[in-house]
Amino acid sequence: MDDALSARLRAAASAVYVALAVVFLVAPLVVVVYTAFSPVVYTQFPPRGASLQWFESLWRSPQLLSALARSIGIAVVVVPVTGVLAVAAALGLEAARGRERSAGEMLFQSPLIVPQLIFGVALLQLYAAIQLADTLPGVVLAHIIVGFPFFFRAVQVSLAGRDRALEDAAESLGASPLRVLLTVTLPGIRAGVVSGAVFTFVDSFDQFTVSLFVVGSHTETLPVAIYNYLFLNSDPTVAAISTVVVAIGAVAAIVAHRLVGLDRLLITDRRAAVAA
Amino acid sequence: MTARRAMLAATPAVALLLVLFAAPVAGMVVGSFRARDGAFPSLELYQLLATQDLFVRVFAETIALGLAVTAICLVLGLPLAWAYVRGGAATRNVLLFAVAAPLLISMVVRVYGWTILLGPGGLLDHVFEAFGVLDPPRLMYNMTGVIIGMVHVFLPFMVLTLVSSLVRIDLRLYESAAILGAGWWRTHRTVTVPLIRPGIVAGSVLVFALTQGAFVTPLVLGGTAVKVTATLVYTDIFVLFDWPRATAMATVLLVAVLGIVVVQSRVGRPAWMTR
Repeated sequence: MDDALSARLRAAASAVYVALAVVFLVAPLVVVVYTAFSPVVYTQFPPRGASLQWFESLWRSPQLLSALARSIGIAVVVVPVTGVLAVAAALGLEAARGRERSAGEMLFQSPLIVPQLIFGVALLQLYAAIQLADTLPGVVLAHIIVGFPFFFRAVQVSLAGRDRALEDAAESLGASPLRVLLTVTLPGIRAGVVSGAVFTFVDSFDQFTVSLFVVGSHTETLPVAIYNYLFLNSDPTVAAISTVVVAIGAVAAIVAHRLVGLDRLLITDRRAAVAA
Repeated sequence: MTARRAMLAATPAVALLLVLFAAPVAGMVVGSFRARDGAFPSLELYQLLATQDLFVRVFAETIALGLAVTAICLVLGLPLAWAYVRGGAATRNVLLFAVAAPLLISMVVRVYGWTILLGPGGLLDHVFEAFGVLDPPRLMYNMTGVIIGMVHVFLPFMVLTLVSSLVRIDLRLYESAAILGAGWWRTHRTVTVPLIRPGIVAGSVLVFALTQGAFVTPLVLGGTAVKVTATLVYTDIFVLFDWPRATAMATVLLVAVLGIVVVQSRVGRPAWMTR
């Protein structure tokens, strides 16, 4: 077969495939938004008009609204605490060598490796014993642990890629260790901190599996509230609140893309990606 | 600052993870060796699981489901990762947002979206009807729905891991292959696949490990028709209140997942950053 022709055919097939895959990936998000503006209770196709009634009904749902506020509040506390822990941990681990280093690395990554379901079961057992179940501090601590590896990894990659000569220069000019940290090291890893913060915020705001175990009626977070609502009701009010979740996710994606680039955030080996 | 003093900075994180992560998980594992009458150590709970046909069957089916979802993600993900790495700026941006969007939006909302699409009387049923299909296939409350939902949840992890691996390939290899007269198929078979084998292994292990702990997708899209190990754990805790059996099943699950991770760490470095 003609090489140019077969190359063009492959390019066309690839474009069609990518388009279909994109549709598959965004379809469940698009239909949630579509349903939120539906004029009727049941799903219909093709659409006949639009309405805001489900957002009005959301406005009259204190349970979902307070869960939304609670989830945002929890994430706002989780991000800075996780950030301080992660930056300190990454700096500390950088100084470690040998077995201490690999043990630390393993411990810091372990919340990603152990399935969240298992962590949820184990944590609820502990919380039940120390009275932390269905308390805000308990939920915040759970979210910090689950989000920690993302923040830690983002900071660690950023630290490894920085120019250490600047720190040596500041030190030889007589800057104290604290001043070197505040004026040279931390500004140098800003991108890592920002991407860690975005990831941790989203992770906490969206966290479902571990939350399901540790929250109760007093501390219901938004994903758990949506889940519970789905079992009891079928009206599109839940689509309206889900649309808010989709919007927050989209804003997070755009902010992350503007600040550090989604590709840098999501693709593991950043230095290799830059080199290629 | 001495290295010793600098290392102290890691203390709070180490303490937090040891006390609130490692200790409870270890405690759960140890507790699963306690018999219902309090005798310790005992294999009673595990003997119970091993002799229950339901658990053995569900455990095997969960592994089979995980393998199927992993294989589908790999087959669907390879061309996507390739299109991303070799595509223009527009293709890259569209793919990046399509892959990132599901990751940045709660799993509960995504699964809810699938119920609107796939459910009985759902959007796809109306589409089938509009096109004159009288007997539309059932896409929810069965294995089909669970596989569709799980592929959707885990495909982004596979694509991102494969991309991380693909960007490292030296493009000159493709020029060499072309000069030497290798066709499309031969080039990929002899250049691409061998070079990204670590990425294929890492992505597959990651997706498989994630499938084993997934319970929302099977629970919502599978209904009562599909049982996986994780939903059995969930049911034991929230419906049957059988904590001892739940911790034993969770331990079996943990050992299976950790076993796969250990095997993989001997083959290549894990890419855990991509969640």
